[in-house]
Amino acid sequence: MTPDDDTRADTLLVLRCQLGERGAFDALVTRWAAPLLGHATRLAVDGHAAHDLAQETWLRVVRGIAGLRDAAGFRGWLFGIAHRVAMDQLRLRYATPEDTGLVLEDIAPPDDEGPDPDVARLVAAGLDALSFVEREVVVLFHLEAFTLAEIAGMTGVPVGTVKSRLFRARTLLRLHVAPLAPEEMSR
Amino acid sequence: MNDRPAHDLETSLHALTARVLSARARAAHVALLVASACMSALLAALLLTEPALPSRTVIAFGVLLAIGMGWIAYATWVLRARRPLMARDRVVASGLALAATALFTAGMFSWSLATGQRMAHAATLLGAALVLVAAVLLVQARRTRSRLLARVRALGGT
Repeated sequence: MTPDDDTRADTLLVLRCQLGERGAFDALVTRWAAPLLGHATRLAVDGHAAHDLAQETWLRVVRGIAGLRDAAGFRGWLFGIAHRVAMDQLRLRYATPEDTGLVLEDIAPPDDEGPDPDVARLVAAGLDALSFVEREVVVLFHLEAFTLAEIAGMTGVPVGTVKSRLFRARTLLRLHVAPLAPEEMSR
Repeated sequence: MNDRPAHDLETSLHALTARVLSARARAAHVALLVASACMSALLAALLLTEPALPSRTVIAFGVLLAIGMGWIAYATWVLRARRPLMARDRVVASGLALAATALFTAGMFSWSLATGQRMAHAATLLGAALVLVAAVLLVQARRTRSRLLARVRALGGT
């Protein structure tokens, strides 16, 4: 199935959900449960929190899908809701981003050159070393293949902030993943 | 990292969907909304047209009217935010609301013809306003359903 076919299938399912077909909701669950759980697992602190995050996200999807104007944008809308749910969970835990001691001005902003498969393989190994906001932006950009503009829309921050977070995350990943890199690259 | 397999999540999401979209719960809230609106119209008509009522009766009816408005707000909130109505549900719900408010208005109209009471006239007018609201909601719901069906057909769905 090509990305266009995926988008078309999602669009049709969303429209059928908006019409009120129960079977379409079930089909949408079947299509998105695993990707949603995968995303939640990368964002949450443990499996239980990931399960809760995925459930709360889906609850908001069911309650809000009637008001979704752009059915073709379902994927971004879904991940945007997951972001907001994750932020709510984070607020509940009173967590604060770790102070890594890096100065943003020392780091050049990245270009929007798209995901790199080698980087994607490496970041999966080093995500735990990142704070939530950095981990999320790396997951959305490198693993979920959203553009910087899409991520900015989902997370409600300017594109420049997304770039800063992404570059900061990449820098941290280099520090944490560099010892693994030669081994990973040789595979 | 994750202890629960994806199929467990899928099962719980199916159950979650069924719970949120429970037909019985949503129908009950639609019925609550329509009944509260009719009851509030009747009480408002009574308060507007019966100046000779004892003050304690006015207060009692005022409290009942406030309760009725509270139920309207609650049912509206539930149907918008907690247990939403989809396009086809909205057509059915607004159709039922139109029928119920039309019945209420016809009853009040018959009463006003039979007795000539000012209260019955006022209730008829308020009922007519409810009929108008229900009719507008029905037209909007049918338009939304038609638009969605057209998009489904354009994408090759049935």
